[in-house]
Amino acid sequence: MASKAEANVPKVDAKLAKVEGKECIVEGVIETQHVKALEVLLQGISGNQKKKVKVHEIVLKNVRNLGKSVQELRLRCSLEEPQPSWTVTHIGGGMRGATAEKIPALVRNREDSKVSNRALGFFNKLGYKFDHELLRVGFTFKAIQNVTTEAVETDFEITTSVTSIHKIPKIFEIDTAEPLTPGLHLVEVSTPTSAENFLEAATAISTFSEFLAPLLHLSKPGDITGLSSTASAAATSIMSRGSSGKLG
Amino acid sequence: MPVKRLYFWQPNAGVPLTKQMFVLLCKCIEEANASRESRVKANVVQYRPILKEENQRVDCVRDFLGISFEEQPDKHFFVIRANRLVVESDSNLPSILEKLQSYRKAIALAFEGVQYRFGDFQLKVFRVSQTETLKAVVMEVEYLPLSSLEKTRVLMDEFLELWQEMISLKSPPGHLFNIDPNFGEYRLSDEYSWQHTAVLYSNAMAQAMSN
Repeated sequence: MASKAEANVPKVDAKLAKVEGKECIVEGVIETQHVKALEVLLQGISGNQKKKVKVHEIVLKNVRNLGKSVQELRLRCSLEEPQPSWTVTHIGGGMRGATAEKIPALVRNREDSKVSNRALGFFNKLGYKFDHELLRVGFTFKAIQNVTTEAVETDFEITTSVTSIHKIPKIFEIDTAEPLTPGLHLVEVSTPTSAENFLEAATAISTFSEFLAPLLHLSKPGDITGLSSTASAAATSIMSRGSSGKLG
Repeated sequence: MPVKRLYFWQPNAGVPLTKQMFVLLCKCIEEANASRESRVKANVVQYRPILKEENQRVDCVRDFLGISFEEQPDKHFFVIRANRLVVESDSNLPSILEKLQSYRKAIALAFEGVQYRFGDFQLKVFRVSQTETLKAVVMEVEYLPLSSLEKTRVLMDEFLELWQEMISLKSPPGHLFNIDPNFGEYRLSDEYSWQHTAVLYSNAMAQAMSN
């Protein structure tokens, strides 16, 4: 399968990837001291401004005897805007099997829906009760990654999320939040996809990840391979080039 | 958005509900020189929990309602009447619920009808059916200029009286009545919204199923 990648240059005749209920994702960790360099790198790649993120995530689980299996629902409250906004997310199991083993990214079911502000009470009544909560603080960048397969070009919108995950010792009291892993940030690179184009999506993710390779290792969630040994040198290089106005 | 009310057609005691009542209401409206605009649709579905063990207890609601309106294809609404709770979501939340496999669709009511324009009012007359069975006839009245419930209360009451008089000239076997929506208990404000409408339609379903 031939592939060509050029970050953030949508082709005139490329189609935006069809998305339906799935996401393709890799993740990695980076030392907090190198997050600024990563931000500079992402800004250069995407050509966009970062979007600040502060999300209170409440994970709900179904009560005993409801439904055939244990299910999780994530209720996310975005605290960045003047008015908090809620989204409910369902993340399903990852794809398994021989095909899945070969793909360098995880493909899993994922669906999001905006909900109004009585959502927590609503899901509680439906039997989805509080399991745990997190606070995610950081930023995201969006970029377009083009993939060409057999002369068909498809654009994938890649979201890179760089966040510090906090635990909340006192339930719902966000002000008491403390970093779960001080000194480390989580980086997630993902794109929405479908049953038809997940292979191309994985290629898009893999290709985009190469741009970030000097600073961090990205792999399937659960397969985290630790910090990059080249991160310090790469970060220094990025920051010095950034301050001289050149990125290359 | 403009204020709405939903009136329920109550047949007289011993009189069966038939499609004729829907036809009669439409005829009354047309004879008053309202202009017919379009067909309209809405759906209300009752969800019930799927239990792993049927005879065991479960800590959740007995049922809740999902409401969708043809005019709002990107939105979906959910109402738990027992808890006076209404939630608005994107139109894909039912699909998420389906994936969770914890609730099933138990009853589905289709609201199919006609929309009319009558001066500053928009009227809709619906047949409410469960598959092929007619369960209710309802009339939605919308006052286009205002969105405050309090400011339009008297006007809407008077408008209903006007229609009751017009309809009574046809010696109908029943009358329209208003189910008090108790919006305050749902924590909804004086400013009318689609969440208010979802509550109205959920009450209509409850009334239709109790008849």
